Amino acid sequence: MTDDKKTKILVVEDESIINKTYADELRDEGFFVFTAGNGRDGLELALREKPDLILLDILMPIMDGLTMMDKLRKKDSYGKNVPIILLTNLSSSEKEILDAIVKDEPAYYLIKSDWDLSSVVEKIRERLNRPQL
Amino acid sequence: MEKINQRKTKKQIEERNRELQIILDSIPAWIFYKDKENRFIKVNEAFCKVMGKTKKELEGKSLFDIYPKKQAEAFLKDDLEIIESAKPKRNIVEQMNSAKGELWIKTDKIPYTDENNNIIGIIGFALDVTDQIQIEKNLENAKIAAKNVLEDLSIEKSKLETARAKEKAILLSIGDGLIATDEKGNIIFLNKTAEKLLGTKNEKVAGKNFSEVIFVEDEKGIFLPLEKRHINKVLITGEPAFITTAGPTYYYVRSDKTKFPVATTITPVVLDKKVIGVIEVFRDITQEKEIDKAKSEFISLASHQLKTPPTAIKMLTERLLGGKMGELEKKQKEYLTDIRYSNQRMIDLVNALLNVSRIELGAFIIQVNEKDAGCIVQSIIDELKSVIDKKQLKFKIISPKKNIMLMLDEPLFRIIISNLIINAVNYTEQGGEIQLEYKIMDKGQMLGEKLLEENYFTVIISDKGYGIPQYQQDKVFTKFFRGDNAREKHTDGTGLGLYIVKSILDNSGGLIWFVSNENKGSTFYIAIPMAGMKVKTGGKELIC
Repeated sequence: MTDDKKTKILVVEDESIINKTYADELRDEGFFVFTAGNGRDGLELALREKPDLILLDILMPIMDGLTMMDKLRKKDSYGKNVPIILLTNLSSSEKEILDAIVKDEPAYYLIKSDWDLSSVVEKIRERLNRPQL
Repeated sequence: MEKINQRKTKKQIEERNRELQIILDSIPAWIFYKDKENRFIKVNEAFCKVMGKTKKELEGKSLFDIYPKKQAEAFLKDDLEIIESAKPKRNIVEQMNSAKGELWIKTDKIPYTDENNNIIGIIGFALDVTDQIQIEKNLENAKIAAKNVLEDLSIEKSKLETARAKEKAILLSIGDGLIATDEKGNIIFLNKTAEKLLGTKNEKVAGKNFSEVIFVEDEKGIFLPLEKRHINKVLITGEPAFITTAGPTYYYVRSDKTKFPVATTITPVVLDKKVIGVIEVFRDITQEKEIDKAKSEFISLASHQLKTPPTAIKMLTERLLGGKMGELEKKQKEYLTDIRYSNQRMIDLVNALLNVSRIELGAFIIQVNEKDAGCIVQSIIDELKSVIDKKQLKFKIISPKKNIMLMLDEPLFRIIISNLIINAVNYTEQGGEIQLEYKIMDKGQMLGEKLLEENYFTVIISDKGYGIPQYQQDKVFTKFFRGDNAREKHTDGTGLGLYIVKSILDNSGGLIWFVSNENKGSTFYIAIPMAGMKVKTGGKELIC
């Protein structure tokens, strides 16, 4: 568990209650958490703090999650490789989402209302523990 | 000497009279002498013949004895006129009764004078002109008939011209595009709307093959080759073809390379059982597509918004129940569990509604891959193990030894199987029995009182639970249906599961049916063709 103390997670989610709950859970699990309420702030934070993993919502004001992911991927080598978990209530069969998934390769695409917190945490650990290729 | 002269003269007179009589009797016309009292003095042979009487019967007799009163009076009137005026009357055409029946006669009458030039009667000369009159009548009738025919023809002609003009106006102004081709697919006619929609002119395309002048793209922007063109299919099979607003989208390409989505109906023109051409009626459905897109987007957005608060509640209750915010009292725990449970029902309902609206719009997709059907069924049962065990149900599985590989849309297949199993579990008492069997069945076999018309992969789920009341069985697959007995015992459940399952099967070429008795249990049968689930494009995935 000592790894997790250093592990930084960025939560980008516009719904403040949901944002807070993810942050609380992850902190309880020993992660260091940053939060942002929209894609623009999220992008800034990501480039500045370089978190080990990003939990990213899609539907957000100012800049949505897919745009943020695309910009991040194109920015630098950090941006290209940082694991991103898309967390949304939108259906993945939307054409734009499918295209973005193919183009920017998020680690996972999870439907928020289907995944409880402990399962999301499990998925995060799974991804972080995967040996880097 | 005088005596000899007297005899000579007498003989001459007799000779003359005889000659006269012979002449009179030979003449085919009727000749008669009448006196002032309407009596025949003298008649000739021809007259006797036509009257059917002898000279003796006629000469000296009054006309009143021979003819009907009215006719006799008419004859007398003429006579008196002549006698009075001393002028002859010629060409009297009148009808007369005779032995031959009704005749038309033409009579000339002249005054009969004695040696002192006193008029003592009339001499009549009559001819049978029945035939002439008939001929004249026929001619007159023929003239009238011809005139009528001419008039009728003229009316028909103008009717035809009016109809033609109407037809032309209709074809030209039909709001939909119209294309007519011959049996080879060469264009005969393009109406105004088609010209406008396609950006071309009738003159430019007439006589050319449709595939050379009208171009069609699919959703991916690929031009359809001849074998895939709908007109071609209709020409070959003689069966009509349709492109509708539901279903895959096709675009017609204009002369300026822009394109628009179409709905079209193409029907063969059949004469003596041979296809002699096709008629296509098509229209631009850009607006309809946009409306559908807007509807679909609205529903996606609405369901996203509807799920946001319940998602927050789900996460918050999870943290509370996890003890992370402090130890909970028993009752607090209980209520929080209830909150989580109710909240999950809401999430399930929104997902179900989203599926239903996608089904209604025809906007859901079916994508198939080869899958081990039995394996998926088993994994679903494993997933539901905790629910089954909680109710202490005896769950029996009957499966064939060999793996069954099938072209399936796995997520949709999962929706079908899990819905049926969950129903069986929910509607069976604690400790009850459920049996699930799956196998391949052949065309011609009977399953659940139904004759299978193809080879099918079948799944049979039977329970000994509440069953469905007879009077409600026809509503089982409708939206929000839940049996009255089920509602009593088990208040939650969306009522949308079977509607969704049936819609998936209907759209993928599968079947679902059931046999049920209240308080005895139900058996549900589903059948998926061994050829696989039918693919469906033009929409989104349904939510599991």
